[in-house]
Amino acid sequence: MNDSFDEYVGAGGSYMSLGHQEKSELIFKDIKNSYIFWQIKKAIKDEIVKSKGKTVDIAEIIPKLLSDLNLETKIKNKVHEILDKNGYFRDSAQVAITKFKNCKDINSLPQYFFDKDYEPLESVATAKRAWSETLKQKLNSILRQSRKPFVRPKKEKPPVKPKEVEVQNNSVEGDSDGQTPMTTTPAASQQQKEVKESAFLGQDLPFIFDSNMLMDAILKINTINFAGNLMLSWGQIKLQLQTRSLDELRKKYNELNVTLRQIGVDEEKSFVDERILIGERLLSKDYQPFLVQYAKRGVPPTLRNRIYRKILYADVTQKEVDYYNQLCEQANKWETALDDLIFADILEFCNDDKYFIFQDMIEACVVMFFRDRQVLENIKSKPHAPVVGIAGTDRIVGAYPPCGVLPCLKFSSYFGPLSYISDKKEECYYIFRALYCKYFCYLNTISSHNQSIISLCKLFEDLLQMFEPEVCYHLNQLGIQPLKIAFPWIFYAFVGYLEVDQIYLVWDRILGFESLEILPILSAAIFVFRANLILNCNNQEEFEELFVDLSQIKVMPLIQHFLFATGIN
Amino acid sequence: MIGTYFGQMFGQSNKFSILKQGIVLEKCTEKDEQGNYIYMDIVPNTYILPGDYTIFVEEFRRNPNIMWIMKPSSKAQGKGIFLVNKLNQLKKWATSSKLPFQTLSLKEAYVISRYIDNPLLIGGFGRFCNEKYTPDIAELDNMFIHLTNVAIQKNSEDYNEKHGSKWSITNLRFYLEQTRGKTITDKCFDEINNIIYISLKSVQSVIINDKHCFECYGYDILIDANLKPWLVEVNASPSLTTTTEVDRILKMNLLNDVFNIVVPPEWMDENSKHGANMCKDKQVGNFTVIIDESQNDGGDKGKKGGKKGPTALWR
Repeated sequence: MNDSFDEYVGAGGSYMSLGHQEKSELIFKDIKNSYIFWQIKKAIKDEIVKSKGKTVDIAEIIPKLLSDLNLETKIKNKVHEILDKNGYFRDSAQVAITKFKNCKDINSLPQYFFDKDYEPLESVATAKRAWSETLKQKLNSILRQSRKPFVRPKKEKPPVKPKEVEVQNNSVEGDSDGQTPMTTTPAASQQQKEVKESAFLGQDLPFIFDSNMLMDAILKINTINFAGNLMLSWGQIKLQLQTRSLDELRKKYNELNVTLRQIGVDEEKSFVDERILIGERLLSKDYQPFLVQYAKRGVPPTLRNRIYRKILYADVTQKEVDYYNQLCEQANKWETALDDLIFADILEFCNDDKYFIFQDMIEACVVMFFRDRQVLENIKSKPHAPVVGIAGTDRIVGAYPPCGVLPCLKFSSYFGPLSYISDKKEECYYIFRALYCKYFCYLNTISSHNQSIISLCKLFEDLLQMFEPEVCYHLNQLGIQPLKIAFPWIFYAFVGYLEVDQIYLVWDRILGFESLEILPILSAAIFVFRANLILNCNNQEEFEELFVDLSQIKVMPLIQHFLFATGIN
Repeated sequence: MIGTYFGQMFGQSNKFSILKQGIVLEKCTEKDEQGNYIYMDIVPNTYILPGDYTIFVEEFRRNPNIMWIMKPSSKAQGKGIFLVNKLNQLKKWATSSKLPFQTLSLKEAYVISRYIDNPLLIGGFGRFCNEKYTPDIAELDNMFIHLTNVAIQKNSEDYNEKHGSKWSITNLRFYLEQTRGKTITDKCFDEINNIIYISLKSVQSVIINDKHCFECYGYDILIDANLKPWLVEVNASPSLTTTTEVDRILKMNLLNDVFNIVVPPEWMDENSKHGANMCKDKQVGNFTVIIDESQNDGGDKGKKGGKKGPTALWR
């Protein structure tokens, strides 16, 4: 199944093994297909037309035009974007380099090594295949419960009779003229009733997988290879995955140093205003890598919408709006049995008093996400082998759902905070899609990649043991696993645990440092901060009590202190 | 009880009426430096019926397209409120009550205000009311749409016990800052502080000022689509019953903060000569000092205008 699906979608080659010449040709080919290229051509053509017959040496004016019209930066951004899309070679190379430290010539490694979904560790690859199977079976059994076909065209809704006719007849005096708008309420309440009739409501919400299932699957992974590391480890993760050392972390996260002011720590008006000024200036310069660098010290809330869009290449032009509307039309024509599960899941998520007001927005974006084929093309790491829909005997019609990703329990968590970033659903949608495809997909993936949730968990355990060996020993004696508490924090990127403004401070750093490492770092910081309380616990219940409520946590001072001020070397 | 509203403000006279239960503000004005009256645009136009009926009708005829909201002055929890967009609807009300129109006692008086029909909608839809907001005339009777009072919403089919349709002010402010910008959001909240200050200032002379007592007011403020806050109601006995777990924690914190502000630290000490309101902190829990007048005029009445932090019923 996997093989034929790869043929269908295309395995996606890598730039890694190419020489510079070939790389630049491929990049140029991508640019030629992009909107930017046509913009530039048009701009140049307009200029030439303006010069009205004066002989113009095109080769001379082009550089000037590019800089005058700010197109140069747009090209630079486009190149960055293309490299980013195909840049997984950089990430795989990281794995290759650390694993094969003594290998003198990386380029002699076989080609498949650099393919996007190749998993170099056998034990992990086996686990990943088993996981895909589990999910597929779970999906089948749940959808069978709903007694609906997997896909079918939506029933035509009966036309709604407008109530306005009645009102007009009653007008006597003081009545407004003419404009009686079409009443929307009957349709809205009808739609609400439809949702109520769909399957899975009013019972225990089933799920395809949740954080516990994934954690169990990960903890089972073991390898019979000899681990040269003789350090006694109390961690649950048995895989000897490379994680950054404290020194490396301090170097990489240097912008979070206590000596530097941060959004999330320093609130004086002068600092915040200054940050806003710098942010505006960078936005007008428009160069994406500058904004990434800027995000490291936190983004002022008033600029987040624009800066997130720029960093994630998620700008919304007419083309994006049209595509989104296309998805909506499709969703109106076809309904899938999975939709019911998604709606029920969203309702469950909206019990949270931070997100319930945005239920419509969440539905509008999350449901479309699952219909979006481009997700499958853009995603950095497939959480599992996409379930394939087959028509007839063996004609593959596409992935089910079209995005190639099956929803975990409370999947809308990944979208939730983004309802606060814009009141336009297209803007929220594309930011969400980019965030998931570039980062959050790793949280649902079994892989040895350094961004995968396995590596993040390993980092958490290593950090905890390094900072608080006494705590680890104590918990070990009591038979308690710290990872059990921290895993959902990392899995859900802290959504549902922290306040919304604090979540954004964490996500700013994910974007700025281009890594999810901040999640285990924060998790370890929370544990270390409460170390004394943990040492006073005598059983599982007391321990769990300590972490029930994270709503008062201020993340940035915690992280700063943890990385730079504990005096640990 | 509708609330204690404003009588004399800054020594100027305002149009007000004294009902048995309280004072209703109808117009709010202030004198500027030159001694001219400025209209303070913080309360939507209000009239008391039946007393002001003729004046109201004049205003109504001047702007026939406006909707008005009728509130009984002696009921709480949203009881007896209805919307009016035609004069004959009022006549119906007048004749349907048992007494002849003119002899309605003050106890049965109603307050009619201009209805703000462009409220700030969050997420594109007005979901606080569990039904989508629409200014459509046909829906005037649907009280679930127009009233956010929890007592009414509780009976709506969609009422959710876990959150109770309440969203915190902190999250609202964060949302507005990210979607509308810092400047306009800060301005909106400054104006809310201003509303509270002005409204309390104007009843200053009428409020009983006793250092052995304290009062806690609940302000209902409506923010319209342009982020302009309007004062809808002030409650002198805000409901302290709780609806959800979140709500219970919130109201407990509220009471905790109130007592922290009001009770002096040496309360248990019998020799202490201090009265209440010795608290000099700028922030106690979710309460923030808006203004401390004892700093300004050196008088002994230090007034604390506290802003209730975490929640209000938002539209």
